[in-house]
Amino acid sequence: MAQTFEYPSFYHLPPFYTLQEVIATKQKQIGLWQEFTIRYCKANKIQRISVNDCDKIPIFHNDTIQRKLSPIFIREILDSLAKIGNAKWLDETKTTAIITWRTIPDWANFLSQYVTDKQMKNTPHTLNDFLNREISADPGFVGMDQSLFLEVLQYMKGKGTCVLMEGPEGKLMGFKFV
Amino acid sequence: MFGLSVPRFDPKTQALELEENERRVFTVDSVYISEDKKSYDKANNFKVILTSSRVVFVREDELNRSLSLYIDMIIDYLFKQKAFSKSYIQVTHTLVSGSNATLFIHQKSKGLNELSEKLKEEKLRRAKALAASQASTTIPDEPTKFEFKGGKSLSAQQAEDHLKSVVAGSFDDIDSLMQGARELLGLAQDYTRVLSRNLDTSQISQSEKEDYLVFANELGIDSAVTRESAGTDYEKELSREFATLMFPILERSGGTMTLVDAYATYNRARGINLISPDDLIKCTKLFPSLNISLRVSSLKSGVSVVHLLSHGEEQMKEKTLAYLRTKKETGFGYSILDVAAHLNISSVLAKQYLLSCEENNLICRDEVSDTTLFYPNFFLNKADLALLTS
Repeated sequence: MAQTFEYPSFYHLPPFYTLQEVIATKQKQIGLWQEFTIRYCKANKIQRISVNDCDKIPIFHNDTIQRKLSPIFIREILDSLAKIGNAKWLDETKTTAIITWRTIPDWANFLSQYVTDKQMKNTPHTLNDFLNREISADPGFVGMDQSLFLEVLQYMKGKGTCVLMEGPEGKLMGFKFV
Repeated sequence: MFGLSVPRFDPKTQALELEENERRVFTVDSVYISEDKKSYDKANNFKVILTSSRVVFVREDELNRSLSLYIDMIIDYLFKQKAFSKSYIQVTHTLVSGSNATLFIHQKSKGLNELSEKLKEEKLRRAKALAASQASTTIPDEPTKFEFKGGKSLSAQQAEDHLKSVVAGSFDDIDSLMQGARELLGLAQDYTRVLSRNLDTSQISQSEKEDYLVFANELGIDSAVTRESAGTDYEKELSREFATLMFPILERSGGTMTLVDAYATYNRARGINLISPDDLIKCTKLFPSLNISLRVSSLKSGVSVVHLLSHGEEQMKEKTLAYLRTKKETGFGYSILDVAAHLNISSVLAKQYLLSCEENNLICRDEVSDTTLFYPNFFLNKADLALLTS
């Protein structure tokens, strides 16, 4: 899965899996985890992490040294990612977050560029057009987490570069870029 | 075998070193002692010296195998004079451990009879003396005086008299206790002397010697400094006494201990002349001015410790960190108990030093189910990261 993925040297040091108590050390530790998590998610196309996903995500547990992250620790990491724009909580209770190795503004720019290049502006599209159909030009959207894509659209709507067409009960029917 | 002290006998002058208030009563040559009433080994040839408090068995050829048996430890003895075989005295006595033992004194020629008679006299005399001393310490046992009899109450004068006698009796108790303590101390000192003589012949290893001397030190302070004995120099004298006692103890126990532990150790050594915590704090403040190389300092957590000059908080933290950087068979990561054992300090202190190191970003932690292991802080120190991943 991650053949080319390079594990950091502290991956095998047990204290890496214990949330440090002293502030300076903890900041450094969280920083390392941020970089590590983003890099891993990018390499493995992971876009959604729940605090209970310790067992699902290989970097969150190390069986060799028998250490794993606690849900509290994972929440700390996701929270810190959210602060720098690389994650967004999907719920108030901070259980699940979408991971954006490209931040949402980056995604918005990327998307704008894409639709401009493909001359797809001003025509309505559905989510399926972007997420399920194979777009050979850029596989970046295919399989993208829907909630992340919606976040990007919402962001673009805020910028005035996207119009959302909502059906009854507020369900998104389609959208077009302007 | 019998008493703790080995008697000191000079074969040239035939003089026996006597204890206080002890006098020599009678001497018999060439007796044999055994634990069997019928047989004995002729090699066990002793000279018996009876004194007012001991029966001393001297071996002139092997003085260090000489023994002394305190008369007070003899429970019973029996003189058997046999017409056709040798006579013997059967002595039943207590051992230091509290159990009883029997030994037999044999002799070919006469003399046992006289020894038996003299022993009887001395034992009787000791018993009388003991009874007399006990009688003097017994509290007058007449509480009935305080009861109301026939409606008559006790007069104030009588009550006061009774009180005085009770008070006097109480202090008699303490006197006899102190007497006992002095004897015990004498015994310990005797033992130290014996040991120091044996040391010259180097039969005892250096570590045993050190162990014993520290043990002897912990037995107590011979004449503790008191306000009465030291007067205005009380605190200075106390300071010196504290340093004298604690220095070897600290040197053995990692160079540092909590002030509370030191207070307990010191007061235990003082026996009954306890000092207050306040006195201790005052006397520890004098260390620098008296050029005593001990210091008391407070750790960040507020715990006060007393330590050798070379074992301050910074030094202890350095030692802790250096230890965490040593690799063991199973890799790195040490618990509080590991550090306490390595530095030979209490786990309370080891924890303090570890937390202090952590606070200074020198080390980090690894929490496993039931324990916390500490590692050098590789998050912030690249050299430690290289060390741990090498």
